[in-house]
Amino acid sequence: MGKIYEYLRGSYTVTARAESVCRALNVLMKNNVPFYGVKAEGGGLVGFCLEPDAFRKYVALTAEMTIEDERVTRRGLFAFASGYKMRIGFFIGAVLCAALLAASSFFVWDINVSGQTGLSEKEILKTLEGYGLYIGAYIPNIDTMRLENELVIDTEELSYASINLRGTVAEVVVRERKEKDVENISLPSNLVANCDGQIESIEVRGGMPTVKKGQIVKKGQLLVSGVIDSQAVGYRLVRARGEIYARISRSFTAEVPLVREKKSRTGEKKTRVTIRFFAKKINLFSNNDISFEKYDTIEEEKRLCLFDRVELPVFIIKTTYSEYVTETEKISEEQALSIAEKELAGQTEKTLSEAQILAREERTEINDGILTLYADIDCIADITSEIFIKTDGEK
Amino acid sequence: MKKKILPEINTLGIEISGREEVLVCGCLGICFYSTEEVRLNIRRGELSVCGEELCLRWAGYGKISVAGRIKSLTFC
Repeated sequence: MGKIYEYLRGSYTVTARAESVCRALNVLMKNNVPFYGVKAEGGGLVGFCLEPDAFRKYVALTAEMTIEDERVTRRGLFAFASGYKMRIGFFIGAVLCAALLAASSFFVWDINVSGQTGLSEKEILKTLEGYGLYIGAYIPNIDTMRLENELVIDTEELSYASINLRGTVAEVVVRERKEKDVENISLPSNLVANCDGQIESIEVRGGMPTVKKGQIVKKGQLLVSGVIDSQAVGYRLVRARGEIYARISRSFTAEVPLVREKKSRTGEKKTRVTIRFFAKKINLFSNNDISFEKYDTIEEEKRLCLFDRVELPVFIIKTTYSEYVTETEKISEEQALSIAEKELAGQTEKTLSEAQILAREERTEINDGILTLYADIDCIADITSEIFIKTDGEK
Repeated sequence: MKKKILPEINTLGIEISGREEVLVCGCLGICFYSTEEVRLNIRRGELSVCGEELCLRWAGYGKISVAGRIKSLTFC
């Protein structure tokens, strides 16, 4: 600390012949002028150090004395700065740097989000941005309590949010809502058939079943009624709940053209670099026109790190435009069939994921350069569709 | 830690403490300085401090501190 203070305060080192130094030091002692660091420097020379005030007094006191081989060296911050006094750019740069550092402490440098499991960090950051918390946001304007409340209210998936500003870094901790399978049974409804079929089994947890096992039902037919007629209390409306499994037949089709368009890259690329400092974007290019007719845009964002540890609010955004042309390509029937099978598998998996497959029949047709794959599937599946009963608030 | 090694010297008007730094009170001036010897004017004559790598520091009104590897103090 002492050395730092000495550097900031500045000091003078006077070197002269030993005899002269002794005489000078005696004068300084008599006048109570502090000195320190008296050291022999070889060749009969001795040096000593003086503070700036003491040096001024030394100059006055020894004005009429003969100090042999006197040499004065100035040290410290001001001595260093005076070496650059003619370099205006250096000082402007230093002042700007200091001002920038001071100003940057009022802005958010980084936002760390933790605690999310289903939501992505990007989604949360986007929501926060809407409420005024983003990299580069002015810290005094950020009301963290209001933000926490608004984030939880407007994001259904969240049950808790906490925002802590640690210096220039915003730590966002969230907890996601755990969905509980709670059925709202207050809304009255009916269950109707969503396709034709023959009833295999009936499982009713609410309402009155209107069909029997083995019965053939049509699409739209009432399966479970939410209107219950009771002799004791009269009609009452309930929510019909349950599963009615029926033997049904479903048809799926997938069409694949034998001639298709294919993207082919020409290898021509153009790259644009943009620097983002907080929320401000600075383009490092002048011409924004892309001469390609068709192109893909690939954007890479890289954040600058100091010593691989300190993340700075400076991003380098590299946008690459890659040209492509579309070409027609013929594919074989085998290839088309393979594509159609994949598409059909996707369709059946989506529709019949909980169904019990009894039989499956497939056939293919090629008409006008299009391969069509048909699949007829017999299965047992739940055929209920819930239709809510409109009421005026009375049951 | 400073330790007085010659307390009776106080009667001579000077105070010496420690073997690495000698604080001489009542110093009237510096007669001679080199890294091996420092001779100081005191009221009753001269005080010679011998040692290695000696250096001086003003330590307040009439006080001089001699630091270094001090070997001997001699009153002349």
